[in-house]
Amino acid sequence: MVPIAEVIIFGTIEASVYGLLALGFSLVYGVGGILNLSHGLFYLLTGYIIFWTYTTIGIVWAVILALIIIIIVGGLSYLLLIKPLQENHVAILIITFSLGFFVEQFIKVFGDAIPHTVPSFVGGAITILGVPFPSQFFVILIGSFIVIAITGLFISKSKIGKSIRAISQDREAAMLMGINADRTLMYTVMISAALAGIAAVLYVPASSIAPHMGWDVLSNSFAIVIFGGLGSLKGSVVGAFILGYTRSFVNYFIDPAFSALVPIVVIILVLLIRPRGIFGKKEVY
Amino acid sequence: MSAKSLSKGKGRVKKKLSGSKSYLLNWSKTFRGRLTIICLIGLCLIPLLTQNRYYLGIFITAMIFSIFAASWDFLAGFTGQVSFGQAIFFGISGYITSYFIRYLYLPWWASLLIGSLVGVAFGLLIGIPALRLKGPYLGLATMVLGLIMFYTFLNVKFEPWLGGSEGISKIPQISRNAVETYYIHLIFMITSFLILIWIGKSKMGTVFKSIRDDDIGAEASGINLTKYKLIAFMISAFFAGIAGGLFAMHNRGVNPGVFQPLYSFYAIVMASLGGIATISGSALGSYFFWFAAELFSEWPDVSVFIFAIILILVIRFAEHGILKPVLERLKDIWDLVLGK
Amino acid sequence: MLEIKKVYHYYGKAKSLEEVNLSVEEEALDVVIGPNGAGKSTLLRVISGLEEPDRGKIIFKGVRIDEEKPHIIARMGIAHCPERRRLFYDMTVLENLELGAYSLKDKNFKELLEFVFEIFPRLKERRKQRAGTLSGGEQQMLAIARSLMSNPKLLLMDEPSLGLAPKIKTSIFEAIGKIKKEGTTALLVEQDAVLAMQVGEIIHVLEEGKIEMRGTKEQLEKEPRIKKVYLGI
Repeated sequence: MVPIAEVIIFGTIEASVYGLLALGFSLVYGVGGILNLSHGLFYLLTGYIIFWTYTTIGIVWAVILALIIIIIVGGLSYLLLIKPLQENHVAILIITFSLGFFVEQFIKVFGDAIPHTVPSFVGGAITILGVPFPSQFFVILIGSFIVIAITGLFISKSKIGKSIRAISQDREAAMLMGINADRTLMYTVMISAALAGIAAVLYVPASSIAPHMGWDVLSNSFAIVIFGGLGSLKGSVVGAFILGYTRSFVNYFIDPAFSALVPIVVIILVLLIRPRGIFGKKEVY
Repeated sequence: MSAKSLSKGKGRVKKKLSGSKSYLLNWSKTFRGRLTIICLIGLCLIPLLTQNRYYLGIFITAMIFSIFAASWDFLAGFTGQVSFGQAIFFGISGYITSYFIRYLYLPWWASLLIGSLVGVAFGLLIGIPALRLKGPYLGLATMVLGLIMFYTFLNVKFEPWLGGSEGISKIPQISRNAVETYYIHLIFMITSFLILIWIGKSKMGTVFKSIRDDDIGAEASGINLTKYKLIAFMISAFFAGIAGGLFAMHNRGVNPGVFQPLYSFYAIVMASLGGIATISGSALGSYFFWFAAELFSEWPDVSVFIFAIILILVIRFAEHGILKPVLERLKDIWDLVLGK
Repeated sequence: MLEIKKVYHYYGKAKSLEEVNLSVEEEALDVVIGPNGAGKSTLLRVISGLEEPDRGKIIFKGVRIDEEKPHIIARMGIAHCPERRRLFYDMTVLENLELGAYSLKDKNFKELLEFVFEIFPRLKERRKQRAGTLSGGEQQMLAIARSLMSNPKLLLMDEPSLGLAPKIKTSIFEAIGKIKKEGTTALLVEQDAVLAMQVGEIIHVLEEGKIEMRGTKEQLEKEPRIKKVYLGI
């Protein structure tokens, strides 16, 4: 019984963090048709800003500061790099890829390459089914559920949310309604940065950060989004859970060595069996 | 077949040959042609200036990465498929080449050939599922695969088979003589470039470009997209493999690091600096990169950091690269000096 | 109200509009007819900013709009009801209408909603339904209603009758008649010349990117070529 409980708890935690990461990645794809290869840097940079500042300004202010900076970074990366190249998808891929490298190397050059961690908001442990789990795990669970729920509400009810949905369904028609497509895409990149930043705020205290991790974040987000169907929000959340449980299951019952292989196996299987992903949209005409 | 048609065929071959001869002659008279010839002669003469193993090593590294960057440029520039996992072919060929030299005692050239062909096999294996993806996803999928290769080869569990973090070491170099090694690499570089440029100018190259510019149109005019994309993928994988094998031998070993996104980044930054879809630009980019990296040899991270910034600026402001256009601008300056 | 002056447009090298001159008066209902591929849709796309004209001027209420982005033009009061409806199929009818009112500045959303429900009572019944689940005729009604939600000064409609059964066609055109009575200026593109000439005050004939003829229904009905090609008499 005990390992099952652990598999489920660890799986749920990974899933909820990856849900946050994949959600933003998928939103940006849906609105702009852009695969943002620098998505991982939002996570990475948030973690590092907290790590660099929490000793001087305290953990709460460090988190607030990090989130503000990352949202600005998101907006600027859109305005300065993505928007001017909007017509050229190859250039966007290359430039976001180099942006990811820029941040990785920035951290290596001005910091170091070894893994670091930041303190949890809460200490102590909670015991479930005889297994003690750090309380931070529950902060992650509750925190990410709240954020995903708020994001869902925001997307379905708010004016910006509606324009995001309109643009991802039919860009031209949305522009004819008076929606500014460029501005909407900027908001979306900022939301995506904020979601990845929150994922870092929640998860880094329970794990660690190192400069190369941005790429892992990117590849897992990509696997989830391919699995769930590009541009489908439901798909990214469901995909995150399936990936999270699979990884955690492989970790415990097969071998941790194989859990890193899960994303690529998922991607290849989906591509061979159902290239649209499980919740991929049909064309409606 | 009658004698007449045979002689006619011969005549055509002769005409074609003399055509290419006059093409070469004309080319060598252009500014671009002269510049290339001067550069090549310069490269041939380097060993007369120095026989120092270290200095020649810089040139050799630059030549290896010229081939690697050109393999990426071929795929991206000529067929419009961007790979962020070029390191996969580079790395796997490095491993296979090293393995055959170290454990099966095959001669280096045979091992290199096997390594590159395994690279091609990987290209095929990845290509079949990945080419269902449109452009951007292909790039990302190859990157993810490269990462997975990195973790797999790094893994302690697989160490008995894959060598773990140490990889394969202590393989002999191509030749003990640094000058000889230099010339072998030079030949590899020139040959690879000639082949890639030749493919680019051939009928197949035209097909590739038509796919790049308008894949729907190309498909409509009866071109088998998957087949040609796959061929391009395999050609690119082959030359990335050649580079990977040479790199492993030059470094006397190989480790999982070659699968990192960093190596794909190398290829992209060099090709983009030189100018995408030019092939020869890759060589310019590679030499520029390795000479500049020499300035920061104490801090390798700093040079990658600077090149990440340069790549961002190049893509943002100079879509056609910088080195090749600058070099072609030299002609204007040259004309100015001569008072033309 | 709207003036198009010597507009040229090319798709790559293919010419799609050639020296098009056209003006729409306040509270008028003009119709553009012409065969498939004559450039009718392109004309509307050029007005609403989805395509940029290669030469020429477009002036709306004294302001040049030919270099503006589509969302700016929409906010100036030009609503474009595009070809093949282009609804937000995953959203409900009501959400589609809300998006239609996106650029609405005054807060009379409710009044407008009542107004469009009055014209298209069917939409009121279906307001909670996803747009993708509506029938073809209902989808066309929604597309027109959505354009009306911005309280436009000028309404551009691209083939509202496309792919509809004759009965539904008639009811759509009745609705267009009602909209006109409310004082909305409209420019309608239509392939069905018979229907178009019933509602249109001035009819422009667009062929191969050029305006070949224009006039009232009575004037055009006298033209033998129009009779033969468009009216089939």
